[in-house]
Amino acid sequence: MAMNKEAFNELIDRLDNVLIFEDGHLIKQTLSDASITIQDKNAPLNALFDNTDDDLRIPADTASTITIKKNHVVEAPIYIIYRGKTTSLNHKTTILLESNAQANVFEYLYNDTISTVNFTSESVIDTNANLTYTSLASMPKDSAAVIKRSAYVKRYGQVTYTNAAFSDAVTKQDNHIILAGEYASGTAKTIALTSDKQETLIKTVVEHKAPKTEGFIEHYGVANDESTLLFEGIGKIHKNMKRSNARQSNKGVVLGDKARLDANPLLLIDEYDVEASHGAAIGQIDEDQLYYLMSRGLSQKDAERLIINGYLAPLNDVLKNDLLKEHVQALLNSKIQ
Amino acid sequence: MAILKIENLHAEVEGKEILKGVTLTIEGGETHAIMGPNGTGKSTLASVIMGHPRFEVTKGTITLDGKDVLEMSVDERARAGLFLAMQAPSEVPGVTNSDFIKTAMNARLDDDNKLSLFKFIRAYDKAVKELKMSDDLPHRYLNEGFSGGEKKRNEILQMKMLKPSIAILDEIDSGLDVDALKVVGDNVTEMKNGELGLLLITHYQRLLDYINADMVHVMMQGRIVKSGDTELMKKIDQNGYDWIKEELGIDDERVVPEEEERIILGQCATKEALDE
Repeated sequence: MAMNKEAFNELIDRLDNVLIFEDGHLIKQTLSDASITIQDKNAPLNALFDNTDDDLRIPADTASTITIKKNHVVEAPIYIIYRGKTTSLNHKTTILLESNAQANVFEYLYNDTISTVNFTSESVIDTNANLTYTSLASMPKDSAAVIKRSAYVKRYGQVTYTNAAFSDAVTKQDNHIILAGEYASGTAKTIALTSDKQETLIKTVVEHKAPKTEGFIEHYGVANDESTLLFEGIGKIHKNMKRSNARQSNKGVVLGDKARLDANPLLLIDEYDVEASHGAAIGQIDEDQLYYLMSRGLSQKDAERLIINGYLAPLNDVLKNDLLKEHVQALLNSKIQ
Repeated sequence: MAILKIENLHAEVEGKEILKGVTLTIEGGETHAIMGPNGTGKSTLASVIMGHPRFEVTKGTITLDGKDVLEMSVDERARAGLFLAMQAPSEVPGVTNSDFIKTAMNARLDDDNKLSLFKFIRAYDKAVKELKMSDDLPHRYLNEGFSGGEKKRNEILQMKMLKPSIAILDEIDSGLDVDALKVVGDNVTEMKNGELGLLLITHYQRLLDYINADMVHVMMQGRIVKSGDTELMKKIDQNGYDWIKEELGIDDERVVPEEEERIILGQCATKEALDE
C-alpha cells in the first residue's frame, strides 16, 4: 500500500529548507543558505564515473547541479523532493562539494502514479569535504524504478549514505562509492522493506582506488508477503591500495511464508596488506526475543513490529526531523501489516 | 487479592519430563522462595508458569484468580498480572528500553486511555534512579551489550513499571555483586505492599538476606520435596541439601541433565563482521 497523497502533501508543505522538483522542474525553493547554487544542467563528470558495468542507462530528461562552495559548512539538512506528478520521474542530480565543504542532504523520490522511475544522483566530494546523504522512496505498486547513487570521494573526503528503500515499486537500486584519494571514507547503508509480490535488487559497490581508504557496506532487510529481496555487496580493493579497510554486513528477517531474502556479500581484493570482512545473518524472527517481549504483555503483532523496527533502527539514527520520523514510521507500518 | 494456584503440574521438554507434580499456592502479600541444587527443575517451573513455548504441560493445572492460565497465551498471562524476571533475558537490538516498556504499559490500557508521555518519562526516570542505573538507559537498546548485573536490574526496572500482581524472580541474584544485590533487594522489598505475591527462585540463601521470605520450598527431582519457614532456610544455609536427600532417600536430585559443553570447531568471518 503506497503512502497516501495527503500525508505526502502535508509533509512537503511543512518541511523547511526544501528544494521541490515536480516533473523535473524546480517549483519551490526555501533554502536558507544563499551561497548554495542550483543550476538546471548536468555537470560534465562522465570521466569520473565509469559506467561500463551498467546494463542499461537511459539518459535523464532533466538534470540539476547543486554546488556547495569551498570551506562552506551547510548546517541545516537540505530536503530535496522529487515528485513525478503527471509524467514519470526521470531526473539526474549532481552534487558538488568543494574542498572542506560539508552538507547534509535528504532525498525523497515520490511518484503519484504507476510509472517508471529513472533517477541518478552523482556526488563529488572534494578534499576533506563531508557529505551525509539520506534517501527515501515511495512509489505505488506496479511501478518500476531504476535508481543509481554514486559518489566520488577525494583525499580525506567522507560520504555516508543511508537509503530507505520503502517503495512498492519493482526496484533496482545501485549504490557506488569510489574512494579516489588517500584516507577517503565511504559508508553505504541500505534499509529495504519489500511487500506483496515486489522484487527488489540492492547492489552496493565500494571501490578502493587509493591506499588507506575505508569502506563500509551495511544492508538491513525485511521481506514480507511474497516479495523477493536480494542484496549484493561488493568491496573491491584495487592493486597497491595498501592498508585499506573493507567491511560489510547483511542482516535481514523474512516475514512472509513465501518471501525470499538473499545476500551475496563479496570481497574482491587485489592487495595483501588490507583488512576486510563480510557477513550475513538472515532468518526468521528470533523466538526468544518474541517470547521475551510477549512476557511483558505485548501482543505477538506488537512484539513483531517492535523487533522489525529494530532492524530498521539505523534509519532512525539519521532522521533528525520529527515530522520525517513520523512519516517514515507510517510508511513502514503500511508495509509490515 | 491475587492467588496463583499450581496443582500437580507435569511438564516436559523434547519428550523428557522435567516437572513431576508440582503443587504450590501463592497468595498476594506472600513471599515464597524455591531453593534447590542445580538441575532440579526450578527454572523450568518459572518458564512453564509464564508459558515458554519450549515446554509442554502434560498434566496438572495453573490458575490465577480461578482463571485457567494454561489456556492463555504468553502476553495474556502478562496482562493478567504475571511477571517473570528472567535468568537470561534476550537482547533486542534496535528496540530502546523506553519504547519497549512504554508499549508494554500501553498494552494494558484501552485505546482511549493511553499513557501520557510526560507521566511515563517521569515515572521511568525515577525508577532508573532508584535502581542506580545510568541516565542513558532509556535510549539504549534493550539489554544489548548489558553486563549480567545490568540485565538483572533491568528486569526489576520493568517489574516496577508494570506492577504485576504475582512476580517470579528467577535467580535474580546470580551475577550480582553485593552492592547490586542490595539495590535489587531494596527495590523488591519496597514493592511489597501487602498485595504483591512473590516467588523467588534461588540457589543460595544470600538473596533471602535482602528479601524476606515467608515460606521456603526445596525442589528436587521436579517436585517440591520439603516446605518450611525461615528455620528450614537457615538449616540449608548451614548444612546444604545432603541431609534432605538422606532424609527422603533421594539418590540423584536432578531431572535436567547438565548441559554438555559445546565444542567450537571454528569461527567464520560472519561473527566479526556483525559485531562491528
